[in-house]
Amino acid sequence: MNLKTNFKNDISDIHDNLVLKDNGDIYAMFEVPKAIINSIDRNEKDDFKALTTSVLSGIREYKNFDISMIPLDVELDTMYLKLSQDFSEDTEDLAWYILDESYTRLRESVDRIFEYHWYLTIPLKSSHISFDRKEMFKTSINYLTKRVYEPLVGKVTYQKDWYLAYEVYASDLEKKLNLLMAKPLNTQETIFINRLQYLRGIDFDRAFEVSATRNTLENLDDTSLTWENFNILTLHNGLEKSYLAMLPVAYIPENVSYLHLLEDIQGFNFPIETLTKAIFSSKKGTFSVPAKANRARLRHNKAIADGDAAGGVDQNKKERSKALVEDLLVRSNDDEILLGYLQTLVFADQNYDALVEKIRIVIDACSKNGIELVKARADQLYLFYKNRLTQTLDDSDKNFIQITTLDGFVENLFFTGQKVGQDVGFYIGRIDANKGSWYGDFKKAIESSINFAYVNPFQANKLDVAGKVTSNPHIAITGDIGGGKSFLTKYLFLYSSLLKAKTLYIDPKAEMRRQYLKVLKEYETKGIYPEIQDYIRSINFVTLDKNNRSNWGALDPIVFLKGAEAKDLAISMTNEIYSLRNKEEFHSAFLDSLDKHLALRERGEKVGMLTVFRDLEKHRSKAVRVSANLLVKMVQNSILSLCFSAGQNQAVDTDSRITVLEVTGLDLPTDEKDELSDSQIKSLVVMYALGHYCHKFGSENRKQETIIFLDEAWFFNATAVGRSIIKRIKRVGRSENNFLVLITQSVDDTADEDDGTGFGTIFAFNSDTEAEKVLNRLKIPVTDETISWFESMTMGQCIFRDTFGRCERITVDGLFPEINVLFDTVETDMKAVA
Amino acid sequence: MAETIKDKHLYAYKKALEEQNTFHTIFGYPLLSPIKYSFVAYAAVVLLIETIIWYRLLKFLPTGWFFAAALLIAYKLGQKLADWKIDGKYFPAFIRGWLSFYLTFGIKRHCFFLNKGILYEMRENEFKNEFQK
Repeated sequence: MNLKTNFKNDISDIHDNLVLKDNGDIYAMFEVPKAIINSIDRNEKDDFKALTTSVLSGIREYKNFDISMIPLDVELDTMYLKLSQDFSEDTEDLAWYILDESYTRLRESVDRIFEYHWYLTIPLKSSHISFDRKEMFKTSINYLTKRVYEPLVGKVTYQKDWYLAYEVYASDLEKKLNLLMAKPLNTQETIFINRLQYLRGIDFDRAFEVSATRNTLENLDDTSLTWENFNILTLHNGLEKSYLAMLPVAYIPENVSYLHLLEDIQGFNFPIETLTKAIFSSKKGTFSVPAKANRARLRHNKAIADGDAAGGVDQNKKERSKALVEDLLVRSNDDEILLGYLQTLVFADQNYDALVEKIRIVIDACSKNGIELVKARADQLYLFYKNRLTQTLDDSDKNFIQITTLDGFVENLFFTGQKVGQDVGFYIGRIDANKGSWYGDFKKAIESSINFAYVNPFQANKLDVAGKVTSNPHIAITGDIGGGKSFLTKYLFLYSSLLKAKTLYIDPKAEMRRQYLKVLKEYETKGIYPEIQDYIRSINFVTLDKNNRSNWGALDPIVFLKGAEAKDLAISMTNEIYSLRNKEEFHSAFLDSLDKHLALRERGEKVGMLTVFRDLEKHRSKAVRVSANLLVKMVQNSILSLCFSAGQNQAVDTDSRITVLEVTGLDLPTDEKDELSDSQIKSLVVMYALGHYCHKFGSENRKQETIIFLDEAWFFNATAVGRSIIKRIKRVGRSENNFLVLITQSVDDTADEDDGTGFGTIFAFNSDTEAEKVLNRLKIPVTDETISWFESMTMGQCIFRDTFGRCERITVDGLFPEINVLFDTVETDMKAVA
Repeated sequence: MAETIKDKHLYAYKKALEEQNTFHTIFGYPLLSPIKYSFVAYAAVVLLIETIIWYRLLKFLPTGWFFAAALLIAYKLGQKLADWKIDGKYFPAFIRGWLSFYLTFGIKRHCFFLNKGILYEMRENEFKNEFQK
């Protein structure tokens, strides 16, 4: 144990991010926002490491620096309160139920809901740093005077405005850290971070602690410390106590390329504070790294020469060590920056056994990666006091110091984190820190992560959101059948429908109404979940059934559209079931009749597409009469009666806030690559009409947020007309507050770079044959590692790319079993299949 | 096509710098494997302890047999101790650190506590009871 360590609080004053110590040293503290980098994207990580190297090399003159990764509690309640401002009044009971329950259930599922914050502490002025020789001399004299006078006259105080002289230096330092976007802390934050060192693992009131410390800095370290367990300290703050263990990194692997230790630490599902104290090596001096390397080289040379003389037995280890020392000297001669650093992992818990278990888990995991983490039985007190943010390494610190180059040091991957989704939104799942497979056990994937993802689809097109790379409001959900895309889609539908927006779900599989009403009946019978019951009752379920006469013409273009829009759709639909090519006479007569009937409809007459065909049956040309008669026969008793009618019924209502529109009797092919049969072509025509209905729904009110969920959307991509309909809906987009959620099997269906109407948000579920395509679409480098990362996704997992350009693998978490039953799509009487 | 990951040749030098001194020959005769200087020191200490034990307690054992066994034990134990690291430190460094900790703080672990960097004695009152809860 290094007994030279100062155990006392030597902080005299704090102003903004500047900390004045008793000896006149001044430290500047900054918070560095974490760079969100995809966990699998090595290129992006390498670019960020190069940036970190560049910034750290610029602060070499300051000699020392500290990088701290500190877990701080997430204020979930504040975030949820913000979200609640957008709740729609008619469904707010369920919205509040979801917020309350998710708050409770998330807090129960993990020890602590926290996120890591990065801090950088740099000595702005100390006896080691000389910006100005005169200033340095003055500081030394002041310190000497203080040491001599203080025992005689009591504590010597500094001028109250001591910080004014250093604001220029602090500003200069801030500029040097610009690339990392480091933000100077304010006084309250600086006090809090310094006080937190003594409150690890203890429940405390932040405002009270900051206020007490601000009142007098004597309170900064007002925590008692005991060490009855040797390698585990106990902190006592009033009646609260916690156990604390400081585990230094004793050895790291010889080759530190892609070490990424700090990223791995963030993958554990409990908080681990990581403190890294670094000191740049001098070029000269007995204790400098080059001098140590020179001495080691002499030792190795002698040992190898002796070994050679003795027959060259067992020389491999020596040769490797010698090569490393030679490499170090070459790098030193090439002016590469060398440094030593002490890295300590801090574990804190109020439960002793839980703390011991956490330590065991981390030591095991680190040893698998060649990192030796030690319990430091004799050094706990030293590490506790040495690791305070305003203490620096010096020549007396010899244990646990790693020696490497600056490039090697940044391989730890500082200042990064994983995040995806919105800051304010509904909880949707957890980011998966594991890059391998969970072998179908998605529950384990959820339990192992504490990195939550929140989603709010309506943030996408808003302008005042920092960091967004696109305002494209559209969302694509892709993947093979059975991967979980329906489950995610329905959660997104639920969450969207709880906010102030009009929601439309196109359900061509006709699954939702039956299941929702079944659950409603069950809950009514049992008298449970009244919020869910009310919510289901608030949904306007519309079922378009060709056997129901009142549905005929509900999607008739002449009935629900006007003018050119109605005409274009009518032509497309007719052309799809009866090609107009080389039938100029019929085509011409059809257009004439169409114009006539559109005008009649405008005047309020009840006419529709079937009226047009019946009109053509009376045409003077036989060829036209035959074609029209054929079309009438095709329409009768088929699903086409939903789109071709005599105009006697009203179109589908678009006024309800939440609508689920299902169509029964659609014949959708099971594989989009199959050739379409006659009945599938008819179904396609109905989908065209639905597409136009969606366009109308999205463009009716520019100020009102509307969101359309288009399930089985790949059906539209089967033809050019279908693709153009999707594009039209998407173009409504941002300016008209319309959001499209496209659910499809292939990522190819999301490719629309040609007209710039792609998707701002993508959820890509597993797809056996499309790994490379998906990675390219998500702009993730295609490597063996990324392909394996994508292909090893288990059910319920997907890659989530948000509007900030962030991309992560998440596990969708159905936190509410009482809501999940709404999304069941498989009905069975079998009992032995679970 | 999938990209491959290149080695950046970035190293940690701690192990290479603290590699222990070894010798490969004894009186000009080559050894089968290099021997650490620290091994010689540990083996000598172990042998000394064994000899003291033998002299004090086990003198009834035949001298030849005893020294044959003692040398073997000293060799094996010396090797173990020379390679033994506790908490990332070689044995002597650990013992030195542990003793300085134990004599300053460890010995007082049940009756002292640190507050504001100052060691206070726990009195037999509610404070001690509070800490031991």
